[in-house]
Amino acid sequence: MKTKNLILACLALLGLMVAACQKEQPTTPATGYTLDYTVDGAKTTVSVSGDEGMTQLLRQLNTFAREGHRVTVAQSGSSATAVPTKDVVTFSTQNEVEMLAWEAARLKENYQVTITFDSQTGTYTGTAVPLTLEPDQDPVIPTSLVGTEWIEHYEDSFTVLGTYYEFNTDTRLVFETDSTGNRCVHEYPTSTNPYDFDYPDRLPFTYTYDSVLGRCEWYNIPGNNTFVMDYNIELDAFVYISRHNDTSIYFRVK
Amino acid sequence: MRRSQIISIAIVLVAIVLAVVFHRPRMLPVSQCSDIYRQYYKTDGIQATFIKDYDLGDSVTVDVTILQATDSTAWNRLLGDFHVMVDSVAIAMKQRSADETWMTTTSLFPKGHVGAPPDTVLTNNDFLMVYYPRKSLYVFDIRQEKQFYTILSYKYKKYKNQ
Repeated sequence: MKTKNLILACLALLGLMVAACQKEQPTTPATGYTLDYTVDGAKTTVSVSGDEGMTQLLRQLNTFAREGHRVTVAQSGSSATAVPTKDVVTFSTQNEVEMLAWEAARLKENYQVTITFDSQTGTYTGTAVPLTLEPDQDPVIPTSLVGTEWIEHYEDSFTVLGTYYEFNTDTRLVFETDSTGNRCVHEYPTSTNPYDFDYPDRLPFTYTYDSVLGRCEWYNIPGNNTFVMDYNIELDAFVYISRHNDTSIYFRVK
Repeated sequence: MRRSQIISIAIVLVAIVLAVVFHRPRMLPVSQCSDIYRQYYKTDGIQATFIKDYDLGDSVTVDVTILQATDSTAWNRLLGDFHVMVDSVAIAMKQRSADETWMTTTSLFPKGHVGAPPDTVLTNNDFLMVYYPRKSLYVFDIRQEKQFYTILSYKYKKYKNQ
């Protein structure tokens, strides 16, 4: 009898170990960025750790810009690895809430998700295949996006007319011109407050892409504050959210 | 029969008639159905259904278009039209064929898909779910975050109650 109990205990332990091994495959964490930025022409090179560090830096530069200083930012080196390489990922569990959360997260990361449920064992198995986006592809809109009426497009710039944007996770702003394929990226501070998407805080503001200098500018219409960011600060692959004629505005929801 | 009994029976009959009138399915004209429905409702091998404000519970409703293939040819066409990745389908079908107790679905936001046709009738808010056992494809018109999660939750309830 004792032997039988011991065998059962071993089997249970083995089951737990197998379940633990079935957890989602880990992804490569973000490393850091090395950036060159100038304030009124004075150049500084800085290493930023992770997205939070980047956000803080951009906040600081934003403050300089608002005070009337001319600010430029460019990525240097090749240390930026903001997003892990996407692979096919699998996940297995008997917990329906866990499975639902996993599926929702993968869908929002633009995976195609296949779920199978074995009614005999009560086990869910999920397989997520990454979808590759092409620059000329129509966008995927996160379900939290509230309308696109706030984008007004003309020539090589567009104006954001809304008062704020409502997202539920960190958000990164990207814009580009289709003719050159160059992209501008700006990351917004939203990690602590999901609705803290108020930069630039005076709306409306206008974005302009300078194809000669290869950079983007945006400024508040009522004021003279201009913020300039070189296009090569591109850090990421993008999820396209909205497009308008030849110029697209994108938000990446992490 | 007493007068009070006649009145009671009349009240019950009126209640039944009202219940039938107010709870019968509303028939929408084709013009008020989704673009996807209008594209497929006359297609051979595909049974198209559009349901407006389908009740998912918890006071959440969603417009949904259901496309059900009646044969394999139409099914393959549907999967191709909506660019459901073949690898994923193969995985799903392999698992299903091994044991019929498996129930398989695939979900995606089709607009982000490589190769999605530029003239597709899908909108940016469409959320696509494929239900293999019935060769059915559901296109949900998502307008709120809550709808997205409620649809997933609804699906998991169906898994349990299959």
